[in-house]
Amino acid sequence: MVEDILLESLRQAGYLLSTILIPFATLIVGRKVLKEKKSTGRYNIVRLLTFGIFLCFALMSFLEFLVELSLSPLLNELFGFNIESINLYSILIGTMVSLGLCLVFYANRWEPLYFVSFFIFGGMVIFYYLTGFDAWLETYIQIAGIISLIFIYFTSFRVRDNGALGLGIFFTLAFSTLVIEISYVSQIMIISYNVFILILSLGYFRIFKEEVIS
Amino acid sequence: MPDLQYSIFEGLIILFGVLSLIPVFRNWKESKNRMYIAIFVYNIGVIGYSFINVLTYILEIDTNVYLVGGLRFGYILGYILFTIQFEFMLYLRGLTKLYTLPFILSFYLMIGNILNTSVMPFIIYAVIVSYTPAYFLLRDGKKKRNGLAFGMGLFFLTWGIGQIIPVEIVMEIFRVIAIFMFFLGTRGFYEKYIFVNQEEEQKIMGTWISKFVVKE
Repeated sequence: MVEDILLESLRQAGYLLSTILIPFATLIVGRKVLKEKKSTGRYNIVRLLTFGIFLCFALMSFLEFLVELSLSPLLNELFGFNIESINLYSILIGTMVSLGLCLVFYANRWEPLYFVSFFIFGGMVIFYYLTGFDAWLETYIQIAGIISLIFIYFTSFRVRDNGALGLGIFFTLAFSTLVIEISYVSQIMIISYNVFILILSLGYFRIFKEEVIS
Repeated sequence: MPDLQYSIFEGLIILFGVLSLIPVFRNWKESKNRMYIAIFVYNIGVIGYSFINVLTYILEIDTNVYLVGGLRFGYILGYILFTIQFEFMLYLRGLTKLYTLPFILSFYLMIGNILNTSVMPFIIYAVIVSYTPAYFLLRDGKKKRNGLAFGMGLFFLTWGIGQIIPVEIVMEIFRVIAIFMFFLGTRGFYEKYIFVNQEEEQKIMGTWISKFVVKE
């Protein structure tokens, strides 16, 4: 009984933190993007992509919170909560992993591959609405997620970029919550990635003192 | 008998294709311009397509046979050629970031053909990848008086018109005309007879007429 209450409290705390902290972190990153645009006159694509990933995550956390509150059966149906078929949840996760891949390709200057993830994922969504076929969605999300994570770590060490490394750690924590089946560990992970995203967005995460590229 | 007739058409396409390769290769050797390599590769794609067609006639393979779902053997060949065509168009416009698009688009359309027997996506794709480069090539070719570009534009235009006519014999004739127009482009025909320098022509004509006047 006590265990259940503790677990439920952790779960609620996790949802609440995600709903507040992730949009907050998104706002901070968004502000940085606009500030840089003002000072340099052009958008920093890496920051813009990071902002896109954060925005998707924030939107997902907010919708997840609304679904938990069971406000509308239609929203629950649209949200879906799985990556096996096309729904709001899988579209947001798919966009996140696609942006992650795009970030990797951009950081490595692999120009012909810049938009490949969007072509694949966008094609998959359009294809679903035309034919109803979405059997490859889960595989795409898993493969693209793993590839983008590996390459984000690889790129972050290669270019000694704190932002990329932070993003890698954040996503490792976030994705591990989907894999770990022990509820307590999973809930603690959720709380920890929320705290981490706040540290990252405020700019306190500085493993590399000297970066090769900013 | 119709197979022999189609084989002759394909043979003509191969012949003009090979004859076009020689000046393109020579131009590339002189200028080292990578555009000639792209034209060369595309031309090989066209020849390869015709060569496969000849093989299907010889081996009596029915290209209209459904392989999986609504996907025909002929569609696969068409998609391969469209991919090369689309890639060529992106190369012409210098759109490096979109290089993966033709492969992914063709792949989805092929999968779409497996699930759906409709021929419309194939035709729409053919029209887009044929007429768009035709427009750019004809426009740039005319503006810069470049016979090769103009010839390629005419090739894409004629080939594209042929693709949307669902009568095989008409399609074949259009393809032969298309490759012949391209062949003329590689041989400098358009520079010589279509893009005539008006001023120069007037000067020559003037001299010629004045000579007659003096004689009389």
